[in-house]
Amino acid sequence: FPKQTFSLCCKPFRCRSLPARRKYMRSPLVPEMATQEVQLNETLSHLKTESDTLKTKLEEERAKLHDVELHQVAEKVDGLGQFVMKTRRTLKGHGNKVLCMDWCKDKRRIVSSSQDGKVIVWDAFTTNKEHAVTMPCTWVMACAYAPSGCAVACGGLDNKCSVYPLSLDKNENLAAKKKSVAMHTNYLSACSFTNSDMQILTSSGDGTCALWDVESGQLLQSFHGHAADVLCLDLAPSETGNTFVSGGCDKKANVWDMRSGQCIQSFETHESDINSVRYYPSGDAFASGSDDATCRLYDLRADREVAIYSKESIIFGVSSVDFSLSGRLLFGGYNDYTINVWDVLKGTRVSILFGHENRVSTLRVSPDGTAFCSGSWDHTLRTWA
Amino acid sequence: MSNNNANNNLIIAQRTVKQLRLEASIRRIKVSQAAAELRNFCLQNASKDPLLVGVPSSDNPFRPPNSCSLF
Repeated sequence: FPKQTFSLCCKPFRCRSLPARRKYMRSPLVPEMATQEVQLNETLSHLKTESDTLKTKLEEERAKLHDVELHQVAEKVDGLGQFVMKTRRTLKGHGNKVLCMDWCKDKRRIVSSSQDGKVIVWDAFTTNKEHAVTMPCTWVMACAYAPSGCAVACGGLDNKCSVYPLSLDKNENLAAKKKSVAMHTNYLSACSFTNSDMQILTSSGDGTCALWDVESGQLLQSFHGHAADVLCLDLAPSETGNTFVSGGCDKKANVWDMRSGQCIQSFETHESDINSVRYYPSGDAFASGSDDATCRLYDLRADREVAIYSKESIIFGVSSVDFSLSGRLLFGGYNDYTINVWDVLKGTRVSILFGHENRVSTLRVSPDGTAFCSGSWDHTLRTWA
Repeated sequence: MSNNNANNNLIIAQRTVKQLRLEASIRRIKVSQAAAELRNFCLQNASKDPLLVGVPSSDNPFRPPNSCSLF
């Protein structure tokens, strides 16, 4: 059966691309205008030629340095043994598909959001629900925990990202203290606090990413460059500086400078939408997961893709990826309900985890690396260790 | 009206070329060197990776301890 039909049904309002450049219309009425047209035409074709030349040059420069494959460099590394990872906790309580989740820095709390508009904060050790908020919209596609652990951010079809301070008083109505921070012109696909509770980075179906000040709601920087919906983002580990990576429906993964708004590197090797991007723990590389059923590793200093994690038997899209603490393992949540665990260095699959009864939509390793949590369209979250 | 469209196309094309020039000019290292550094990072941190090496059940809050303790 064609893979395409499965991938099209899950993303609300996703447009394949923003309005393309309108066809150049001819209006031959005034001679001066006609001359101007001709001049513009020539400049345009010059630019197109230069653009094509540059693209070719880029590929050539990248290819020159491609002297070896990652798995060859890792040949002498010991293989990994059998992994026994099981579901240790199942978090039940959402009334519909779980779309996103994030860990608190305390390594025990989790925030999750769902299609029915609910955002729940859990204690993952005890499986107790600590807070619950009902958003005014459905399809809450993004949620994030603040570094302090005192607030959560979330958003989705409301095109906004809102911050809710978490109260110690369980009876307090969280919705009353809600703060609207980000405003996009299409759905919010992902959000993340930066190093502090004061700034939030968002990505949207409107094709842009943006950096916001939480207190004032002011737009600090916007990032333009994707040609279609941006579906995911990840901030570089704090030691490596002010950059982040985003992935979109245009099959591109872009690396951005947060201060200037400039796109500094761009990678286009996936064959379909990129649903998830995650930095390698050292900050020198990042992994991506796509509807083309592959995960890929891109090295930032070599400026190219250095590994593909795929198998002929895996034909369903990857919704979410994350690394273990050392970067040796890559966990991928797939639309065929499974989680595949890859040996990042050797490129082989080391384990396949069953348990969810519908698509795995989100997956994050805990901050101290002792476990990872997956959320699914089967309404549950599972922690694995 | 058609001039506006043409101008838009021009601006877009200029931006694309500018962006490509930027991307083409960055400094790159060989894959062999980059891959070696990725491998070394993995190996150096392997012992501290709980999901890789496993931690004793008593230390991992997610794994059930072998026996229950009553207090």
